[in-house]
This record gives sequence, C-alpha cells and structure tokens, in this order.
Amino acid sequence: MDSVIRAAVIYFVLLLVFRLGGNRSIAQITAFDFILLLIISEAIQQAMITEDYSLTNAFLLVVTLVGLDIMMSLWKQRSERVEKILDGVPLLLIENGKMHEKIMRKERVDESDILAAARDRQGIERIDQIKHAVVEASGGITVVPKHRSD
Amino acid sequence: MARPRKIGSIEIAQDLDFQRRSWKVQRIGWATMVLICVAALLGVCGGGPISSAQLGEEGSPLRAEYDRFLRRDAPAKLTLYVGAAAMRPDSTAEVWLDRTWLEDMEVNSITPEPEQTRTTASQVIYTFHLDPSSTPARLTYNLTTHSLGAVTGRVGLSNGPSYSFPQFSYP
Repeated sequence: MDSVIRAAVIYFVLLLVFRLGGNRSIAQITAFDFILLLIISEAIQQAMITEDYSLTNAFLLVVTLVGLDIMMSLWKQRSERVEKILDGVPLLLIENGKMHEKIMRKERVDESDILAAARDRQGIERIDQIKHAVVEASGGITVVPKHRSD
Repeated sequence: MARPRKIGSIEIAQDLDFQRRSWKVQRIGWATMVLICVAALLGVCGGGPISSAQLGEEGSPLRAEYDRFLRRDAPAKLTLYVGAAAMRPDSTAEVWLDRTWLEDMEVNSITPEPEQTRTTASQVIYTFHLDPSSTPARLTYNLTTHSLGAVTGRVGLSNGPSYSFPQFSYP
C-alpha cells in the first residue's frame, strides 16, 4: 500500500513543481539543467524505495507510475482545460515580425534563445528574417521564417 | 491538443488569458517554494531552532532535549541530562522511556551503553552506571523514527520527575 501512495505522491509533486518551473526548464538542456535533472532523480530515488529492495516493490512503483501516466493522458484527452493546465499552451513570441517583449520577459526567453532556435531549425541568420517565433508547450522554440514575398 | 485559432496568418492554440492566469499561479507557486525553504531552514520540517526543545529546568535531576518535528525514516536524537540527585548510592541511575513511543523508533545507539534494560507493560527502563564526579551526566539516544503523524513520548527517572513531549513526524 505504501509503495503505491509514495509513487503517486511523488509523481504529482514533481508534476506540480516542474509546471511551476515553466516548460522551458525541461526543454533547455544546458549543463545547469542537466545537473538539476540528475540530482532530482537521485533525491527522489531514496524516498520512493525506502528500505524495501524487493522485486514486488519495484514492480508496484513502476506499475503505479506508468498507470498514473496513462490515466493523466486519458484525462488530458477528454478535457481541454486539464490539458492546458498540465501541458501548457504555445505562445507567440514574435508575431508577424513584431517582438512581444513583455511575453518574452515573462517566459524568461530572450532574443538570443530565439536566434539559436532559428539557426538550429531554419538556418536563419538575423532576427528580421523571422516571421513568427513560438514557444511551444513542450518548452522548445519554433520559428517560421519570412518568405521572400513577405 | 487545445483547439487552434487563427492569429494573423498562423493557426496556433494560444490562449493569452489562460497564460496570464498561469503566470500568476506560477509566481504564487514560487513564493510558496521560498516560504517552504525558509520554514525548513528555521526547523519547521525538523532540525533547526524551531524544532529543538528542552524540558526541565537547570538543576533539575532530569533534563531532556528533543526535537518537536521529526521525519519518518530519518535520524532523531534524544539527549537526557541526569543530575547528581538522581543517582543511587551505587552510582547508577534508572531512566525510563515510554514503551509505545519507543516501539515506533529504532534505537541506533545509546551513549553511554546502559548496564541493564528491562521492561514493564508501559515502560522500557534503562540502568546506567554514571560517574558521580561529572554531573549532570549526558545520555544520548540516537534513534531513527518510524512513526508517522503526532506522537507523544514520555521520559522520566525511576526516582524523579517525568516529562511528556509531543512530537510530529512528517512522512
């Protein structure tokens, strides 16, 4: 009984804490964020397993976590509101060439992040070549370049 | 995915009202996390100035130092100070701990080791051989908590005062 409760509580607490951190904290993999993910997994491990090293405990934890994941994804599918709360929504950072600086500040994204994404995906050189830039629910930045006709 | 809308030439599932509420919730969440850290530093979650407490006055035959807040499966400490008045002619002192409370604790070590341990229905009684020239003698119980929620411990001398101390064990 203990194991299922532990796994569920840890799942929901992590979900909450990472949602509070914003989607970008998962998406960007700088050394800093990588270390964070590593340390968090170590910190959680002991609390999940405690002193029970049995196979049964391990299986219960895995089944509970995967089961919760399935349950959440079904719930997301049925309710748009739940999906928005759990996943977030995409957000336009640059709309038709115009930068929304307030939104960028709130999302803690700056021009160089957008340029890096633009170079990565579209081979874009300058910010004035960008028509739309979106920070997706996943935390990544996608860019729509200006066509020659724009 | 959420339903996309058309904004200019791009179809995107943006929802600025939701986003603004999200940012607000996020900021509140951050403030809460900071408060939790501050509270933990002060000892609300165990270990720290708010958590440590004392029982018994200076000069009393028995004084105790304990933690008000504990964490399950984490180390806990109980320190007792036994004064000269509690010692018997053969330089021993008898200290008892509540049995129900002790049953939910794992005793890792007792410094110094007791000479003898015996039990009654409600108490576990430890007999220590102490040095009469260095009083008050300090007895340290290094424990691991296995209890959850509110518990009340009791400690006392066979021939002296006894105290009860309420504790809360976080999961």
